[in-house]
Amino acid sequence: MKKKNLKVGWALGNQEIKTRTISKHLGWLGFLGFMGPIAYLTTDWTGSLAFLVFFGFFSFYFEGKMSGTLRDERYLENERRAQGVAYRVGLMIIFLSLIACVNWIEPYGYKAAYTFLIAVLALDWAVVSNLSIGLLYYWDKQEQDNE
Amino acid sequence: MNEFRCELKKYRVLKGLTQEQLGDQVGVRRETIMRLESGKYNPSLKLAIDISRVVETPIETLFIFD
Repeated sequence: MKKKNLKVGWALGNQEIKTRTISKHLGWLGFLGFMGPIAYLTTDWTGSLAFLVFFGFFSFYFEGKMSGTLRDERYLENERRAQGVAYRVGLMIIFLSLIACVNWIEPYGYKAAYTFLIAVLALDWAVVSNLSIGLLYYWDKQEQDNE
Repeated sequence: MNEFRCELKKYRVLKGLTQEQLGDQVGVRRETIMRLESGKYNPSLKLAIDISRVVETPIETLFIFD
């Protein structure tokens, strides 16, 4: 049997697809998330809290550590599992935040509720980004360490 | 629940292949082969067939469900 004909990636056709190559030092960009509260405290511009989403750049650290990894079927399985957990956590955060907003924040006025929701949604995005790639890295690494 | 056993290591060594070489030929990482051999990973049908072709061993000999 010819070996060259057997080089196939699961669900990827005849291509071997690797993760993108980026520097793990890009994870430092996550500290840009502090721009949100700093800008809010100095300018009182509510929209600036949306900068909290930059905390999601911490995920570049894990992505950098997994640069050039072959996305085989086990990687894809772990990726789907990690994204599933991350999205569930993200939706739960939004759900609990809405309850908190309606019950405890909204009585302080619509501006407070609006500010709270902007901050929560931005942080939620960051949490989901970090969690999905962080869990993927953790499971992938943990499984290798257990060998 | 069925217990999964994998006899891949024996047939891979008989074939003179390393985990890396086998992984390269079937398009997965060495770690995936490692986990397969230790019975900690349940492969897809596609991967199981690819591996059985490479090591030239029937699929039911390589992967056993008790």
